[in-house]
Order: sequence, then C-alpha cells, then structure tokens
Amino acid sequence: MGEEKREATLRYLRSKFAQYYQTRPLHLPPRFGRREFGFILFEGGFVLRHLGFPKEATLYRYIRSKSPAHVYHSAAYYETPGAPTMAEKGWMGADLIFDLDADHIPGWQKMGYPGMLEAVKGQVIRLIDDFLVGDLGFREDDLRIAFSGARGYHIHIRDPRVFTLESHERREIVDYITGTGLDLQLVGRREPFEERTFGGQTRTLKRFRIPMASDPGWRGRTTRGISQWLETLSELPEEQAIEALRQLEGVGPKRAQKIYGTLQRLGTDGTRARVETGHLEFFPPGSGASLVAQGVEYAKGATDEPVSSDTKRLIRLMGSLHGKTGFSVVPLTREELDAFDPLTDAVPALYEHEKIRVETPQAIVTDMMGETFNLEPGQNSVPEYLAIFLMCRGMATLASGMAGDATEGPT
Amino acid sequence: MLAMYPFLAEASRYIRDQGLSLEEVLDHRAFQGARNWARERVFTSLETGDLPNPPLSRSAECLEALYAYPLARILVSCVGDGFLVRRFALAEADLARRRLSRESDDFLLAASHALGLDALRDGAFRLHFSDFLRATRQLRGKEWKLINQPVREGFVLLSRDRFLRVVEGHLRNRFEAELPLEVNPTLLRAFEEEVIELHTALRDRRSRLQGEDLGTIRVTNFPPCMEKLLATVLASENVSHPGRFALVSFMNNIGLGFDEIYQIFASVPDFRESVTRYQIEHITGQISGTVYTAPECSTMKSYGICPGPDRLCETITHPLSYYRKKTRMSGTAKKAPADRPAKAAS
Repeated sequence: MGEEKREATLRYLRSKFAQYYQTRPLHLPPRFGRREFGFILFEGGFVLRHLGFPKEATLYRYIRSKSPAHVYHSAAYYETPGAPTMAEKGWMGADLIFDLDADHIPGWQKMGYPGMLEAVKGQVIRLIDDFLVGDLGFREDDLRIAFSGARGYHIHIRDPRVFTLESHERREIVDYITGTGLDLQLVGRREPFEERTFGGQTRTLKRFRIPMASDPGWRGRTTRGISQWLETLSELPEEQAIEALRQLEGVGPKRAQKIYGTLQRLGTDGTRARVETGHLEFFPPGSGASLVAQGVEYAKGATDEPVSSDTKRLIRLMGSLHGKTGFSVVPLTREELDAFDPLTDAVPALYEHEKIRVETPQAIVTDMMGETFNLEPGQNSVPEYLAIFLMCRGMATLASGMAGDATEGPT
Repeated sequence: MLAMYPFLAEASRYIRDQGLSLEEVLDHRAFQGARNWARERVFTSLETGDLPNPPLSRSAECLEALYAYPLARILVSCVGDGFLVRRFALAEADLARRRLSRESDDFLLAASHALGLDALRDGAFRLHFSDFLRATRQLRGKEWKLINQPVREGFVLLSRDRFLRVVEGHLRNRFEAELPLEVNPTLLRAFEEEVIELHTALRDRRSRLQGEDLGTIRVTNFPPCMEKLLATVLASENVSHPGRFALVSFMNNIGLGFDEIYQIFASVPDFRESVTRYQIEHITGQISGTVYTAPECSTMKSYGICPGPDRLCETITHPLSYYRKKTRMSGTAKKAPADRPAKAAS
C-alpha cells in the first residue's frame, strides 16, 4: 500500500470520525469527572492515557480536535484521575465489567463474521439472564450493556455493592460464571440408599444421586445442565446422539447404546422428570460422573477473566467509534439486545449509502445493512458505510483521485 | 453487653460519652486493670492467639473490658508492626466469633447489621455475595469459593456456623484495615515499657523464622506446577511468558541466584541471550530493585499453568508455601550456612 494512499485513507476516516463526534453521540459514565480517559489515534499505536476531564465540554473539545480512532475510560474512579501514575490517582472503586468476545466461542474462526456475532450474542444473553440477573441478583437498572464495536459485548455493572471488590474477589465471580473450581462432590455422588442383610452380612447399596434442579447455585445449575443436554440429545438422529454420547469420558459404544436406549424408553418428559428430581441411577452404572461433567460443561458461561479482575483497566466509551471497524459502541438495554444486529444497528446514520471508490487488494465477501457484497480484487464502488468498514479493517484504501476529506461528500 | 463487643459503634459512643481522654485513662489508677488487660490481650495475640474469654458479671469488670479494647489497639499502634497488627486482628476476630456463637440468631443478625453486612435470615442466614467475597478474602479453601456456595438472587445461603465464620472474617479485615491508629508522644510514653517488650518479642520471632533456611534446593519439594514448568524448560520446550515469570520468580524466591537460573534457561529453544538475561535480571530485582514474588495459586490457575492440585496443594494457596511445607515435612531444611547469601521471599 502506497504511503500516499494510506495517508489519504486515514485523512478520510479521521474527518468522518470528527463529523460523527459533532453529533454529541457519547454516553458518559456516571462519576464522569472521576474517571481516567485514554485514546488511540489513527496515526499512533500507543494509548494516550492518564487524562481526566472535569466537564463534558472539555472532553468533546479534546475528541473533536484529535478525532481519535479509539476512546476509552477507566472502569475505576479515582481521587485524581489525571495523575500520571496509578499510585497518585487514589483508587476509590470500580464498576464491575464483563467482556465477551467471539474468541471465547469454540470454533469461532470458522463461523464468518455474522455467524460469530450471532453466537456471541447468545452467550451474552445467557451470561446476563442466567448468571448476572439470575444467580447474582443484579437488577437490570444496574446493568449497562454495549456492543463493543467489533466482535463482542461489554457489560458494566454499577451496583455500589461491588465497587470496592478487589481483583481476587472479582476473579471469584468470573470463576463462578465459567465453572472454575467447582467441587464435583457437591453436584453428584454415590450415596447409600439401602442396607441389605444376606447370610449374616450387611451390605450397603449405593446409587448415584444429583441435586434437585431447583437447588440454588451450581448444584441446581448442573442438574439443569444435564437435563437440557439430554433433551437436545433426544432431538438428534440416533447416529448423531450416540456419537455425542461416545464423546463422554468412560462411555464406549455399548454404554452409549444403553444410555440412548434408556432415553428412548423414558421419553423426553420422563427423562426430565427423573433427572430434575435428582435421579440418574436409571442410566447404566458408571455413567453418572461423565453425565455430571457434561452437565457442568453445558451449564458453563463465558467471560474474559482479565477484563473483570483488572480493577484499573480502560474500557471503550459508549457511543464512541471503534477505529478498527467504524462501528459505534452501541448502548443497549437487555430488551434491545434480543433484536440487535450489529451489521445494521451499529452503523452510524451519518455514513452515506452513496458509493465511493476503494481499492481492495483481495477478494471480499461480507454482509452489511442487510446486503451481501461480493468484491473482486481491484477497484470497487461501494456504499460509504462499507468503505469505512473496509478501510478501518485495513482491507481497502481510498482509490486515487478520491477526495481525502469526507466533509466534501463522496463523488 | 457492650463490653463483650467493644468494636461496635455503640461501645465507642459510650466511651466517648464518658468524656475521658485516653491520656487521662492511662494516667488514672482506677483504670490500671483495663490497662493490664489490654497488655495481656496484645501479648497473647502475638504468642498463641487464644484470647481468654472470662465471664463479665460485675459492672466494674465490664467497664475494664470496655476500656481494655481501645487501649489494646493503641498499644498495637504504638508498636506499628504489620505482623503484630495481623496477629491482633486474627485473635480479636476469633474471640468475637466465640462470643457471638453463644448469642441468639436475632442478636447475631442485628450485630451483623451493625457491622454493615447486608444479611437476612429466613431459616438459614443469607448474605449478599459481595459481602461474602470481601469477608472470606483470607479464606482460600475450596469450601469458601463462591462457585461452591448456594447462591440465590444475589445472596449466599449460610448455616449459622458458617455465617459466624464469615462475620469473623469481616471483623478480621476490618481490624487489619483500621490499625495502626495515629499515636501521639504522650501515648507512646505511657506504653514505653510494653512497646520495648513487644519489639523484642517480634525480633525473636523473626530471627527464629529466618534461621530456618530452606536448605539446598530440592526439586522433589517443588509444587506440581513448578516441577512441570521446570521439566518443560529442561526438555528444551517453550514455556509461555507467564510460565517463565512464575518459574523464575519462584526459583529466585527459594534462593537460586541469577547465574543458576540463567543456566537453566540457556537450554530453551527460543533462547535469546539478551532477552533472557533482561527478563531474569528484571524478575530477580537486579534492574529496578523490585524483587518479584511468584504468583499465588489462583493466579496460576487463571494463567492456565496450574496442572491441577495434589493433596498438599489443597492445604496451601501459594506455590512457595507448598515448597516450605514440603521441605519442612521431609526434614531437608537446615540451618543457614554462614556463607550463603541472604535470600528467599522476605
């Protein structure tokens, strides 16, 4: 890529970003004046940080003058957010942040961008409904959800009770969500249920029991996981179901066949009724532990550990633009999340539908605003919103002869 | 009642209402008993940690007990030693738990509210998980991990016994955070003798601990994580950056010097002399003067470099404790030879 073209491309993006920030799109965090801010510019790779802004107007002035590619604020709030070192800032507390990115989804590399966005959204919904609002009891009012502008979502928790949690304690919450450190004895074990005396000898009969589905915490969660997994299994064709069962540790072809047979005999409702009341003994002996392990696996949530446990981390400002996509970091309610489609809803209204010419060194297939684009290598005329996305991704440059200034409008 | 729980806000309010300054109390013959009691409390917390719990029946006894508490805190503050603060906090919290364990559920709940805990009771005790996490900060067994608690709608369900342990943990944190208090020269003078005695006791204790050298390095005493990391390095396979950091800091903490550690890393395939030298120098404190301590178990787990605990691991929360414990158990510890340079995590 020629230096000149690169320059023209960056100039275009900078000017478009500046235009965007004219519309006062930012959603500032509470205790705004106590936060540290950080920026990455289009031309420089490192973060400009340790900046504090007493007033909204000063922040806007700064952003409009620099037109940064990325804008962040601290999850923490400080006595002196602008102090040059962490020690001098005086940490007072921090929001609890969760970050879920596509790379936490198994097999994400093969999904394609729209597929991975959809899969991440499913995980985020589960993180919120099952864990944050479910077990941990946060109110939806204390939760701010945001599309990250790229491949994932952020959740900011602003319940004062969590502000002073330290790193170790935040990691405990992550462990709770990801199923780390679970004591397996709590969620399934062999228990005595009958004593039999035969020929003067007493034998204690044991059977494998699991908690009730309604039990609090991971006990009930594991049982529900087992039940739900078995339900998805019973909806599969026999061959696939048996194959899935054989993936379990200690389950060979014979045992898999037996478990499948039991599922068929009891039916979906019959299985559910038994499993959810703590019974697993109708499955072949020895398969209890592996079913429990599968239940745990199925019930696990995902979230990025370092983001939550680092109490001094910077997080993207809601309403700002992501310099690697051009998308905006869209704040969402839990209800809005359901129908949210980043490839349409995170494209700022300011980006034009009119076409501009870009150069794409490689062939590109991508979806945006409900359309699929198929670009050959070379020069292409594409809607401005797509051009911005591709230029931000580094997959396209402004074609020569294009004005490097967005304010003049595309030609 | 207040005399039993002198840390409650009501107790300090009572003392304040008496209108006596601490200097006056220390001077006053009538408070000699309280003063002796305070002294006893501090020494016992340093030595055994098992504070006596005599019944308080006469009102004079109650008054003494009530004043003994702030006096003991001042004495601890006069010494101003972190280790003493922790011992004192531990012993005081333990005493409070023993006393609370004899109270009714209602009283226990009211006391927890007075201490600022977000607790409820319906059958079992329920505590908001954020308070639970803070209060159990220093309890690292798996039975205290949040994931192993019955959590419902933000609250952790706890039996009475476990609730008492959590309240104890909360008090311990609070006492540690509050101390040392600021002291003035008058108070320092009043406790002059005790302060000297305590300094001596602390010094004795320290030299006893330091005399217990970890002996020659024994790989057989390494925790599983470090053993695995070392084996990987020795097999000339690559180790992740956090893995290297953990291993280098660990080996440095148990007494290996720069040269010895450097030799080991020289066999790594992506060995680049300047980088490796810099990394080791950095971690062992030769560059900035900061000596890094090996990461604790929970961090090792997060980095994914904990290969899973063995039985001894269940009793510790830090790889270094594993090494010390195993070294002591296997009798390979010995007195430090005079020519060995001072070292180990301090």
